[in-house]
Amino acid sequence: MNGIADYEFVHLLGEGSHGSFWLARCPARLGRTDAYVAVKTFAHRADEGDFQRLVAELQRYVSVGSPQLAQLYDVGLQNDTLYYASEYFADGSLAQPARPFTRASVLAAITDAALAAHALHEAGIAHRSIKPGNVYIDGDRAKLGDIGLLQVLNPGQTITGLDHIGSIEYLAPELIQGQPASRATDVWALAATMHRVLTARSVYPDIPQGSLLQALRYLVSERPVLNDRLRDEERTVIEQALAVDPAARPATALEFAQIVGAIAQRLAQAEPA
Amino acid sequence: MTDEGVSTATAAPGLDSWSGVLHRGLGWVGRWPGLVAVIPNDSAHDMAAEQLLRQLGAGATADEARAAISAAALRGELRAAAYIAQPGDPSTLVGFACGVTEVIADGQVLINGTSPLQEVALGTPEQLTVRAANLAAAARAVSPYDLRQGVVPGAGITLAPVGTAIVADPSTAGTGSVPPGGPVQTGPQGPPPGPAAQTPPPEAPTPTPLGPPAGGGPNPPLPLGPPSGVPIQAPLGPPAGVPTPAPPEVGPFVAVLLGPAPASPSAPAAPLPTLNPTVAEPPAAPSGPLGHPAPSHRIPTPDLPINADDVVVEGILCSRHHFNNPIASYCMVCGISMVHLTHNLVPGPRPTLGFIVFDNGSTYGLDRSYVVGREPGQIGEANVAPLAIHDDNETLSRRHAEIRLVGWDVHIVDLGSTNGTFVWDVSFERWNQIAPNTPVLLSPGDTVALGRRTFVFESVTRL
Repeated sequence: MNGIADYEFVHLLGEGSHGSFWLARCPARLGRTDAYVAVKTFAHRADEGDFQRLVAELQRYVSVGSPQLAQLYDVGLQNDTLYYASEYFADGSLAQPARPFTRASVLAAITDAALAAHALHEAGIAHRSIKPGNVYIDGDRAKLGDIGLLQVLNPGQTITGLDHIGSIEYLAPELIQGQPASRATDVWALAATMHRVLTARSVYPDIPQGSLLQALRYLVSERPVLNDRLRDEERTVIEQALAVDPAARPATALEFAQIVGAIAQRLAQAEPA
Repeated sequence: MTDEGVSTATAAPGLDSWSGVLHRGLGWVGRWPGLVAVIPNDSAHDMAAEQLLRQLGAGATADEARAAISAAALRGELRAAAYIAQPGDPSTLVGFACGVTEVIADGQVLINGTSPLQEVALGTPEQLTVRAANLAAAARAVSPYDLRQGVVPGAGITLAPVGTAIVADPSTAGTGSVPPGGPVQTGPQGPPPGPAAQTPPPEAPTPTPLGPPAGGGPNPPLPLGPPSGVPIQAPLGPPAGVPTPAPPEVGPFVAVLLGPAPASPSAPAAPLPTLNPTVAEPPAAPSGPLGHPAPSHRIPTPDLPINADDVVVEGILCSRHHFNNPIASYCMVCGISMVHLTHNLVPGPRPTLGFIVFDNGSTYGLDRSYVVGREPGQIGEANVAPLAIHDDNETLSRRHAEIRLVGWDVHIVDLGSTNGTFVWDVSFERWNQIAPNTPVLLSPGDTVALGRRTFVFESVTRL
């Protein structure tokens, strides 16, 4: 793919859960000063109805207006391919940061992501796709991007396909069973993201590799196992947020953000600047 | 592609006079006189694939390579590999595919990993592709390199007579032109056992086309391995591809600019409910006179909140008041044992019954029934959703089958499909075709084949 609509692609940034991300030059039409934007193209063969639904969903997202949410610029349809364009973060994401990150700044980034999730929840939107790769580093803060749109294009589907096997640890068990996404499922994903970034390990260290079906079976019957690299206060909040019973998790993402934010602050004071 | 006279004429000299344009991606592509083979990346971790690559690197002949690949596949040692060979006469081409691979002739997938493990005649196509089947469209863009001989990194190769333009993503081009409905027998050449024509054959002693359910059979229907498997390819905009990088032309498109503060079109949505997603939450109960949904569904007391749209079933509550199937021994929400509880049946909204996982990894929760097919369209009934699935081989009917939830049970119903619906019989290791319009109860772990697509049913009830 060389481009879509009036976007000229520079290179592939990565494959997402149901499409690809591209670095693209920012067309003048957008009226932005950005040199580059990130463009997501969807693998789904879309029609006008899909486009309308996507526009409606993204407009809801944009109207949330949280400073911790990645900005969206444009959504379109060319032939039967949907795309949207959003701001591009040269510093990368928590999955692939472009520079080293202290533990305190990791925790601050998780806090920002949780605040963003809370803003979405208050507007009636679940993010559905929180994971390290969707928490973007923006200066000394972070922004949450790449809202899950699967349910817009394919209602009922909980997992897109094989590419999802890598991000299965961020799915709350009740989601796999077909329960609706909720505050509690996003809180799970925030905790699994925090665990992954702090320890470089999955909350399911023994999940069977290779077969999605085996992995899913494991996931609905086994409990997460937290890694030893966590400090006590980190472990406590993650453990609570990964409770099987959604009602036992922190009730809101804001609550989770406040706990993690406090840990981040204590750590930042202890760490030499 | 363009000039038929020329290409059919060039088809005669055979494979070796064609140019072979590589597809980018992870894996290995090898070409010898009379043979091209592809071993996708995830296979390269297999012992058999590694051995094979070593053997090929050591300068195996085409016949050795071909024999080694098909033998390893038949023994079930090789996860994925495919080839196109010209065994003798230049006009005879055969193809072979196992695992997540496919062989495409003139835009139609003739063989893929679910085909019988045998060589299939390819006729006299004008363009042939053999490649890994699970790559996103972007990853399989055609590179400018023409491979004539040797083994190089790549995920596939497209062969066409020298000088012919190569379609970057042949299957996209092809599926568009296939007439809807009916099996795919329109191809000009008609390979003897048209792979799409007969779906799961009732009994083939060794290699069943779709393989037994996952879990240890010789060739499980679930493709393995992590590479991104977006089953539906996005069509490539401007023909991404071959050497000429034309200046980008902007084709027609529609777009909507998303302003930072659009005059929020609709009324601000209600926040997501806090607490307790275990009970399907009512956005706002239409009948509720006071309409404040917040605290009504916390921990359910014996009376579970039931909404107008809910399907009501009788179940049991665990000691933490999660609603469960009466036959369960452990709570599906919190895992607590319910063995010693007195089983008082209470009515409640039916929770999800499990999920289904398709051969490409797509997973759907069974919180509702589904009509599955190529184009199921809109379904008039509440709690029944359309589930459109893609099938390169066009073996699916528009409305092929229904996955129907009845009480605490999951049924599969064939909706009079052309190619039938099959359930894998574990004890006899064969596919059983189910009678049309007759519900069949599914047990946890059952594998179902709709045309050439398969899925596995997983229950969340903990016995």
